[in-house]
Amino acid sequence: MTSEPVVQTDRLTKAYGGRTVVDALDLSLPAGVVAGFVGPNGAGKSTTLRMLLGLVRPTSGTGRVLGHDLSRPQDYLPDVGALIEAPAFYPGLSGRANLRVLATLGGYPAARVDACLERVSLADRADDAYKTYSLGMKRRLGIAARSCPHRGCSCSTRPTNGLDPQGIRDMRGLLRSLADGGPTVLVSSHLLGEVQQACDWLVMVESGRLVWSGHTADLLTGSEVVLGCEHSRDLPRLEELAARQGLQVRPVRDRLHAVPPSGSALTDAVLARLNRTASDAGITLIELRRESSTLEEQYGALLADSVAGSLR
Amino acid sequence: MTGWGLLRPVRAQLLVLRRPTVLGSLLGLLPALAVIATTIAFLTADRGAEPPARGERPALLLSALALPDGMTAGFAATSSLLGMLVLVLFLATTAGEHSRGTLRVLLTREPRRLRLLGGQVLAVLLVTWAALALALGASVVAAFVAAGLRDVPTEAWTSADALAAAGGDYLRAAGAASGYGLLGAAIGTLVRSVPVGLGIGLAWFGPFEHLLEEAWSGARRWFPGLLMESVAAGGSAASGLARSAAVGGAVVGVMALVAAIDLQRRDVLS
Ligand SMILES: Nc1ncnc2c1ncn2[C@@H]1O[C@H](COP(=O)(O)OP(=O)(O)OP(=O)(O)O)[C@@H](O)[C@H]1O
Repeated sequence: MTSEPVVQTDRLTKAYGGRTVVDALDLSLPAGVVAGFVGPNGAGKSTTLRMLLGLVRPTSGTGRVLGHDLSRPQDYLPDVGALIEAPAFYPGLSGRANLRVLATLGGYPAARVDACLERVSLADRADDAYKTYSLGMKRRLGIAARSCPHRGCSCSTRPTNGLDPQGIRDMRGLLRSLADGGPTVLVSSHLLGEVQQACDWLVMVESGRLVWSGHTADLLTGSEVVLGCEHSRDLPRLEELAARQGLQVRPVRDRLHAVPPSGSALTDAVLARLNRTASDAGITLIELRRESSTLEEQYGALLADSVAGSLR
Repeated sequence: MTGWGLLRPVRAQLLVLRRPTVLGSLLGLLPALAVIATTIAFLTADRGAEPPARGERPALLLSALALPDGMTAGFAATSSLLGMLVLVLFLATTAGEHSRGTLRVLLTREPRRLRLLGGQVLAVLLVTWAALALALGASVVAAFVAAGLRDVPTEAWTSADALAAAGGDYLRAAGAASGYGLLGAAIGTLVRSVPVGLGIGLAWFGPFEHLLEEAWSGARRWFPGLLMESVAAGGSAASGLARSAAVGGAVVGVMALVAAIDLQRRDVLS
């Protein structure tokens, strides 16, 4: 694993007309991870991927992929396996011929085409016209097309869309095996569940802004502590005390939810210290409870924070 | 990147074109049209005694068909009809990449957009030139057969003059077809939609130019479609061959340049 980020952007921005759809995005993806790009519909995921692939010109900001500037996609795209949204192929050509076209254009040996078709279990239908494929087979061909260069970095949107359960399991394995070989895989989805299981790195965006980025594990093990005190007038004071201990605190109705900073765990010692501090300050706790939240809740909470933050 | 790298888009596009529908329609249709035109020319020609005076339509007299350029008269007659076919082919190729969404996939393999488009257009040109060569060959064979049927002497067809006439016919047909093709590619690239592009292309090069041709004397001197027709026909009264080729080439060049700049700058969104 190299130390230099595979994908890095610096205040990357795209505006259509007066509307900013990607807003000063700072991304940094380490090598060898399967990174999930999540956010609600219209968050700007596809637009960001398109900027990384040189299809859409940033309005402002800069970025680097595999160490090369975004303005020269020819320097890094040969090492990037890329596919955006629904796969697009020539309907009248066979799956194999479609891959041959891409291999010829990219200068890969034709032998790799067969290996890629084997890999996604399409070899027996490879000579049928693409238009006769089922939705799942079309997705598989898309994966095959992407895994052909198999070096560097890979991007995709909704990889498991339209696949049967077996196909989804295969896909996860495939994503994993792609990343094990060294490259970074970037998948994009608004379905958190899909990303949660397949990805070990998460990038969350909302309204074109970065909400959170880091190891999925950090988000998952980031179980939180729920604090309640006798008098609600003490809540702000309690919030301040918890924050002083390095916890990230957010009020939820008449309770406080506090999470430890990423990387550190919510140990018994942390809880004991919270209790003691509150008591020293004359605040009587009526609730002090560990709660491990699902990614879904974390996601919702992070998005809510981000919206609240932008309103403040 | 080596010189071979420049050829990758051409080779990739040739793979795309290697479909029965595409090859069949081009490599089959053009020669078939040339054979039909040749047959009609020979079967309907009059048995006149005198060779035609300059400026008359020579294909109408059997004695004219016996001249060195009679061998490819049928081919020459078809080449002026091919413009629209070639225009549609190039337009569908370039606009189809956008509407199908394949362009963005191809661009991830060859991000230099002009190289990609240039290679694709060159590949379609190569196939078009090959189809025209086949059409020329087919019409020569048909001419010899038809000449036998109508007792047209063919001694003049084996002369050097006949060879030069055939070569000239081919070059003019290929030149006009290339002009139409580049115009189609430019429209397809600018419009990015096959139906819209076809609407514009067919309306302009079909009725529009030909209606204005009657109304405005400058039409034959400046409109690209009419200039290409003039090239295919070896020059018209309003605009000679050299002038038609130069002005027509300039118009095509400007259109191609505008399309190239547009492709280079615009976001690929489909
Ligand atoms: N060409 C365009 N012109 C104007 N607005 C655009 C254009 N392309 C995208 N947008 C807008 O940019 C915003 C972000 O779109 P984008 O496709 O990047 O979102 P996304 O996160 O990928 O969403 P989804 O999950 O639905 O795919 C949307 O509001 C969309 O309407």
